[in-house]
Amino acid sequence: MTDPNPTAAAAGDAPLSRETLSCLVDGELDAAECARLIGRLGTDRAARREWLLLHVVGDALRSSDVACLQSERFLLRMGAALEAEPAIAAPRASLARARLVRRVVLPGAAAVAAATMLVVIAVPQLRGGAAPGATQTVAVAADHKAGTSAAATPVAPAVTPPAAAAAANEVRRLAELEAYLAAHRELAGGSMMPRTAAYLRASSAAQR
Amino acid sequence: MQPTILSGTRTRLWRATWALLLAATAGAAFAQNDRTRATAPRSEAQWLRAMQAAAQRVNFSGTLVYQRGAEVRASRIVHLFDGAISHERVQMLDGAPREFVRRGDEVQCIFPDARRVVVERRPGRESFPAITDADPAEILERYALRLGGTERVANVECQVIHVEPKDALRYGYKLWVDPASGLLLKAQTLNEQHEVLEQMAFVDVRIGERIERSQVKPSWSTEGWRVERSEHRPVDLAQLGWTIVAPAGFRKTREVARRFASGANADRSAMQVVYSDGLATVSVFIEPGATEPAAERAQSQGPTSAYSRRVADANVTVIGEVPPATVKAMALAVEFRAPR
Repeated sequence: MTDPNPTAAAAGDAPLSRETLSCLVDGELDAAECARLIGRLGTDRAARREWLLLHVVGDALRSSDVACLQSERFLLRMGAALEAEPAIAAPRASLARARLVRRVVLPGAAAVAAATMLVVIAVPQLRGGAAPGATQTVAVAADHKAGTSAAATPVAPAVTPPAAAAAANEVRRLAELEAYLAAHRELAGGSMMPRTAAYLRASSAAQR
Repeated sequence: MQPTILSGTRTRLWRATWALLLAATAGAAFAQNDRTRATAPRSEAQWLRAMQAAAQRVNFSGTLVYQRGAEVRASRIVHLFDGAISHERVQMLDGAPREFVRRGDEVQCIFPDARRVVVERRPGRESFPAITDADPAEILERYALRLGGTERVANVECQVIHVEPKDALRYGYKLWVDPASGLLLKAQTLNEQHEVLEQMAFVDVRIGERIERSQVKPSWSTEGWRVERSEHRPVDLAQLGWTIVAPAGFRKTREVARRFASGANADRSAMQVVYSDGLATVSVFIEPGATEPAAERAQSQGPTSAYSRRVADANVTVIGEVPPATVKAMALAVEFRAPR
């Protein structure tokens, strides 16, 4: 896309707008512009935070696994940031609709989508996989004292998502368990069950 | 030779002898073929050995489906034995693309979406032949093998083998094995109630065909990707004051200090001790001085059970493909006495 970028002229002077950064991420600025903006990123801390946020959101959109690895603190801050975000500006008639959607609507929508995904994806991973028999997946915080998990009752997959904080806790615990599982799989050689079963078990948890 | 009655007889005698010899050889050869075709009955130990050998030596490619609870994942698998070591590639066909490429002892875990490669060193029979391949006799001390009938899997007539645990410390299995190659084509892990906790099965497989090297190399170009190496080195836990009691029938196979290569614990260090009974394995992780104390907690998902607790100032986590009671008993038996 080589359309002239109306914001490029202003980029050198004004504080780096999210839209400008978004252009940079999408590769829509020319080489000189890119170099200048990247130089500014080196000094402008606020811009760097924006830059990081854009990348995290992009990664979260592209990969549900990455989305699930975010920390609870991040979720809380994200929630606060979303609330503080101003309403999206009215579309500028001079821009093509597609470009408008990419640069203005998407960054905001992406942040919302990412936050929603973090909660929604976390829950099915935890509740799913209800095989008969010994099945209780990651026990909810309240049940922990008891020790061995409850048997036999398969958990219904369509559960109202818990509060973001609780979900984030579960996600973090599952992510920790995933590290143990990977280390266990790595060294647990010599079983007659094909090693491939070990790879598939670990991937099923899908939290890396 | 002048034709005489005698020579005529000798000729006939020679011809007869040759014919007899030929018939005898052919008969012997035929009998030999017949034996292999009809697969002479193997003992349980021989079945186990055949399966272990096939896992290393048989070239095959196919599509494998893994199921645990409501999750179903398919993968493409290619395995090649070059006479010395195994080469293997497993590609996840569902969900995020992921690939595992093994060359002997080393496994590259490739995560294209994160542009990341984790290199692991697995114990393989290539470098530790005596340690990792469990002796069938040992396996038969803890499990009873029982031959079932024959069932067709991936268009191959397979022998069904029931593997029943002799105690409640481990799970049972139902196996479908190709009698000709010894390759395991389908397997289920069963709990005490004979419910299926997980299963994997080939939906199509080509056994013994020629495999190209390119089929067992990474299919992603990982140039410029982040490469992490899993690090572990042998360690003596007893010297550090730790005692772990292995459950009956489990033998210690590895004892290492390591760093976790990834996940939420990235760059945390821990000690890991691995126990095996020949089929199932359990890992005990000990992390002294862990910043977040572990709550006493049991978890299980499919065939995998985990139990964590706090001992002295360390987090102890036991995880393995065994019933929950086994990991709990192991975790509760971990003790620490500061060395003097």
